[in-house]
Amino acid sequence: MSDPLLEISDLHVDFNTYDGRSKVINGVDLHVDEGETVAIVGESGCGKSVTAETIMSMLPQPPGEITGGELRYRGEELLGDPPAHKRVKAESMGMIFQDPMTSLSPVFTVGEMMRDVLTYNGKTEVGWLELGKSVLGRRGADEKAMRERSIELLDRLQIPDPEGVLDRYPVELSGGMRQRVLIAMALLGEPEFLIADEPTTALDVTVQDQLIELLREQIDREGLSMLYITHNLGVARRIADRIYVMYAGEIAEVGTRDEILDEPLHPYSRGLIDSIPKLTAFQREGIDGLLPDYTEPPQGCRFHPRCPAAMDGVCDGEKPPLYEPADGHQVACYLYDDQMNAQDALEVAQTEIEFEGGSLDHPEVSSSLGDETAAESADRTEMNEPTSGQTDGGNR
Amino acid sequence: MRTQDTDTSSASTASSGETVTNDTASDPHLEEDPVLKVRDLKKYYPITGGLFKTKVGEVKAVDGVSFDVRRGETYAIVGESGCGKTTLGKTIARLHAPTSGTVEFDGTDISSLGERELKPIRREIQVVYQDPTSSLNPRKRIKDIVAEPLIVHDIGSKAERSERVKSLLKRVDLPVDFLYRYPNELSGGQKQRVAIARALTLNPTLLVLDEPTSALDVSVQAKVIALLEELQRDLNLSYLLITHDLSLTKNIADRIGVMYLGKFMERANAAELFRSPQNPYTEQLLSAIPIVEQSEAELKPEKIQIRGETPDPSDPPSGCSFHPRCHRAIDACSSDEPSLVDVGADHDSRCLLHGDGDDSSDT
Ligand SMILES: Nc1ncnc2c1ncn2[C@@H]1O[C@H](COP(=O)(O)OP(=O)(O)O)[C@@H](O)[C@H]1O
Ligand code: SF4
Ligand code: SF4
Ligand SMILES: [Mg+2]
Repeated sequence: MSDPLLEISDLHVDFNTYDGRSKVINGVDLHVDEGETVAIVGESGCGKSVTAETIMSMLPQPPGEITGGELRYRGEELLGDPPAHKRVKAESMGMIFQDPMTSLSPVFTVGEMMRDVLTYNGKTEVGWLELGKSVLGRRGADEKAMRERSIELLDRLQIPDPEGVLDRYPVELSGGMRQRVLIAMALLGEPEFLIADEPTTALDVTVQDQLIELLREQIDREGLSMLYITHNLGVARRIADRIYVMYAGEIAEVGTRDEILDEPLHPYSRGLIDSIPKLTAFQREGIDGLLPDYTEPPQGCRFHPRCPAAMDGVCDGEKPPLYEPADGHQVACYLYDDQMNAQDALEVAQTEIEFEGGSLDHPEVSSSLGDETAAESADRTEMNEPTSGQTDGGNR
Repeated sequence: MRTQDTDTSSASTASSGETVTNDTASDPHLEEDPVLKVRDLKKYYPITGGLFKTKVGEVKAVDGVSFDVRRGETYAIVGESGCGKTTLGKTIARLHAPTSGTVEFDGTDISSLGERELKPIRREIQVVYQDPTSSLNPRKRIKDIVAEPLIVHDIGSKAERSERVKSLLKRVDLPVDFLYRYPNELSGGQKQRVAIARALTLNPTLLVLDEPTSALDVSVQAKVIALLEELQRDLNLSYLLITHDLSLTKNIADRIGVMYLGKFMERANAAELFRSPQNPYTEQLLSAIPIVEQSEAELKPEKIQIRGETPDPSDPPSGCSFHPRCHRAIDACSSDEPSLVDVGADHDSRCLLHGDGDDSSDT
């Protein structure tokens, strides 16, 4: 098999917070092959965005710190070579964000922003060489050509009256139109690799449906590769060839779309999928507990305090390795071993993993509640009355 | 709420503790003794402009909505952002006065009551909002947040209040030592449990649940939904559930109203709505559901090419307000306004394609 287009190996990212050192990303391996769309799914705070920020060299450092691992693009290592990372990002990567309102400037018109992207390709710190290339090279078009290219892209994204839209401000557009403008801007630099971080999350289902369709069309038409980040597994089904399930900064499981969504093996994947109300059924068990505190993550499998199949003395020891019961379907869980084939593994999953029913969830107070800031959690610790502390298991 | 997904042909899904007639010929609106009876409810917001803030137009956020909520059932209002579902919930809870129409709660028309007459009603209808972070006062401890309705209504001694609050925390599966914590010490799911506890403080009859789990991760949502169902069974609560999640309503609602630009496009028993949607807008909503498991595919309509977004509600399209986005529109749709017509037992839809059918009695 040829080299993947993008490859992350053994990535570790920490954050220095008031509460101490947060070991967020803990040994993530991930790759995107040429022409492939890969999704990362997981609940809020599991590290999806930090992974995307690392790839796009947008991780705030400090407080973030990449403490280990490699990021290769077409074989070239980028984490240890910031200039190369910048170059590759400018030449080959495009990014679509979640919230157009915060990622689009309020004071510039769509046309002005698109012209800026075309001129500098989004960089404020471009080197002379890049700038020269950008002015003279394929992106170095004059005003009229830039306008034409912008219009063409807006048109491809089925934005009515693209010429008029160029002179409008983002606030004057609907949510769906703004998200289309963002996609158009990500495509302006003619990237070959796109990263999308929850781009349809704030949208209505009918608008989301149209956007996924459009994005799919652009990807197919240009033969792009994409890493699509979402907490919505239904959206992952629509867009992805393969899916990575992430939990607490680690990859729990990876496989094809159908493997992950129809025959999941990891207890977390199963709990997550079962928790989603579906047209067929809805299991109300949910998953006990909360995401762990990243300053003191659980030993061994980070999911073990919440896992109904956890084995004492095993799961709380070493971090589980990735077992591969079927080619490309990997699961980080001690329920499996190297001897099992896909059929064996599925049987284990179906017999060994059972989430507890009942409406009880977990009384603990986590000091790492997803997206809050370090300042907020510091605040909170101060005000703590006697706490029940971090208890394991579900029912009191 | 239903504990199971029933996909039978029975027209009504009896909820726990209540017998609901299964007579397919009966008009749902002749239902005896509904807990809530909403008739032709309208809520218009003025749009003001200019130096003197004079009225220059209006948004018909709720524009003639009628339905009943039976005792112990979950009635879901579904629709996309801006369709008026939150306004509908707030108007029913009398958080603001309706422009016209009636809201009968337990036989009393509350639509034009003044604040003093409303006070006893407020104990009966409580609202739980989407975002517990903004609905809970960050400077108050959980015990004071949950006790607040008791204080407002001047109920009980201090000791009694404190007992009540403790039992409420238990009721929503929170440990007693949460009494002394502040909202920001709790996770999203825990905060939503506090919001539910507060809503239960005065023993209400009807809860308006406005996207109660939309801000939560699914593994937490599942447990909060299970809790709401358990409370409904145990306390015989009626729920008006406002949500954009159709898959959720399929699993927990008894009946559903599909709203678009202030009006119901379709109203039906939940199982029936999913089995045989009659309105083109409902078809689009169902077809856009991003399914998770392959097995769900056969339970939704064929893929429909969807276009456009909800238009500006202050300037709705002529005729059928859905016509610019409708995949079935005919010429007449841009000029003629359809009304809700009977398309089956406990099932109405608003679409010109249904022909002249019987106008639904109440619209
Ligand atoms: N700039 C930052 N400073 C401190 N902690 C951060 C920062 N960015 C992210 N984190 C922490 O990293 C963890 C993973 O966050 P994130 O990648 O945003 O999750 P997701 O995108 O999966 O919701 C969270 O605990 C979050 O609080
Ligand atoms: S069984 Fe053990 S290794 Fe597997 S997910 Fe559960 S705790 Fe982790
Ligand atoms: S009346 Fe016309 S536009 Fe409206 S839903 Fe029916 S077919 Fe579509
Ligand atoms: Mg994120």
